[in-house]
Amino acid sequence: MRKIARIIAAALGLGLALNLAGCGGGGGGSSTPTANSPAATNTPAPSGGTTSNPVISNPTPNVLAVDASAVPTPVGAGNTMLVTVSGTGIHNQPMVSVKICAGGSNAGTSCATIPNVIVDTASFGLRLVRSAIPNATFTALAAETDQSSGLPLAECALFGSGYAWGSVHTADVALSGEIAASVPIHVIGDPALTVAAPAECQVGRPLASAADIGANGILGIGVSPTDCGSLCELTARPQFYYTNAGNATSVPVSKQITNPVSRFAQDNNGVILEMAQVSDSGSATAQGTLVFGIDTQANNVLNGTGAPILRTDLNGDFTSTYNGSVFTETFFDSGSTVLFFPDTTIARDASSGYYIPAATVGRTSTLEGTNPASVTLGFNIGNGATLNASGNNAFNNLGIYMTRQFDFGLPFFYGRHVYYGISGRASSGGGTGPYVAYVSS
Amino acid sequence: MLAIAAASFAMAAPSHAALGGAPTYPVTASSTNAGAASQNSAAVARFAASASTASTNYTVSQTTLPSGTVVSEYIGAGNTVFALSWQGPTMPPLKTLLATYFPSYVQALTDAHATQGGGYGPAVVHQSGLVVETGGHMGAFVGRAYLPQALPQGVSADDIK
Repeated sequence: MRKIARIIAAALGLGLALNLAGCGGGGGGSSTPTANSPAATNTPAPSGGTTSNPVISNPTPNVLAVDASAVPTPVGAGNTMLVTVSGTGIHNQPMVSVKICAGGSNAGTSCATIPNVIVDTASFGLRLVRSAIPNATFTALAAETDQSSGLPLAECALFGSGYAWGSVHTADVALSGEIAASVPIHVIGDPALTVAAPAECQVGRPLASAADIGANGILGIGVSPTDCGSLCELTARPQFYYTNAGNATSVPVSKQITNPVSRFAQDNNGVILEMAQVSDSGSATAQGTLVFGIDTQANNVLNGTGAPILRTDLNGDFTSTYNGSVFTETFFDSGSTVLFFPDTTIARDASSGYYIPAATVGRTSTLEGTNPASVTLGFNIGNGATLNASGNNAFNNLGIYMTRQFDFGLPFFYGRHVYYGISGRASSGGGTGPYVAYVSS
Repeated sequence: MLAIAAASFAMAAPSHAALGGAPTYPVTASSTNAGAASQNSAAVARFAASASTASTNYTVSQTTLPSGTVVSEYIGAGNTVFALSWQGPTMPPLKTLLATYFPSYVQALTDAHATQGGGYGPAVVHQSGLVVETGGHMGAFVGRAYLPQALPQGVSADDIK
């Protein structure tokens, strides 16, 4: 993806996106195993050879994908939680309520239930805005300290378009009937942390309040058990942990902000996010179930479902091919409100980047897994302008143009059971994590 | 058509180093050269390659930050950065890299958050003078930024990898 491969095309005046689109190249660029090497070749773009007739109508018939139709597991068992999408301010944000209590109290002391916390399958750890935590609860949450200086610990967490700067506390986190005891959580927008976020953390919008996030917090339950891992234990890494004086510091893995699921006494090998399908024109609300554990209970079975198992890296990424381009950074992310991917053949709004086809278009992506080796995934893209103006909150066909990655955001999840196997934890159906898997019916 | 070349930093440098100005991670050698000094001692490995054709002439300078994130700066005439891209485990220091464009970038994100249902995750900003695509997620980020009006002649957005 770092090859300077289109220079020739650009020099020939073929660099216009729509022209390239007609070539079937898709603009993604060819990825090679040596992605970090400098431009070593100047071979023409892969679309070369068809550049003689660059402006042609897409000859492929428009075949819409069949909507996925899996039904969520009923909420009720102790390893299940209700997930809702509604008019919380930002569309396609799946919310749960999270109970936090004094650490070591078996979730029994100084508890508070925090509503409207985003279920984020592509981050790791619980983060809550300070203003959403009642004072009586907050004062019961022990502050973590830096192992060398003894100063209170702070962290900056980076997201695609914002950063969260806050303190680190321990709490018992209760998710339905499951309890993560004395787990480190991130308290963001904490006025007790008086030093400003370090400059290297300021990568976008500050996320310090519920208004900033559009939620009271973010529940990161992806494939990683912690948000940094051994690298932050070995060295003080900028953009991760700091003292409250703003100096980067190292933190043992056990004291890093932790995916609470990995600390459950049972059902701790992964999660399944199951969202009911919504209308193709959008729905006012959507419901689903967050299920804890994989192949540990009768209601969280993966083994025998025939779901494709996609081995991921430690962050949950795998490889896909779309329009002839390879994307090593492909992921299923419930925290992304739309599908983010590059397709120059679909009309898009110049300012927002939303795809705005006159009529809904169908597309397919090929996902690389291990069992089976690859699987074709169909999806549809509707008119983002029309959908956004509908007043609805849940959409299964919203997309935004973005290069260099394929982010299957929440539209992908409707009508599916999407499994996340935590690193180092095994299930009978998925083997040892990290992996993701899904069923569509 | 490709050649290894040093950026001509002997020229009068703009008053700031970042998008629209001189490279944040200055090119200090004509080829791969680890350990070049730079701002905040942030760069641990770097190399530069230039690409030139009859109608394009710019340099791509790649820098690997201590986090492992690779930043590519696209340097045009006058040693001015007209685009950058990144990929790796953390976001690059965008406040530094976008420099004078950072406030308008943050404002555009805030506006999109309010009007388009933007979340805290991936986002795009498309303005006449600035385009930013920021994607990925915790542990694996990817993105690019460029100045549409500053792209050298013959260079398109698709060239910003």
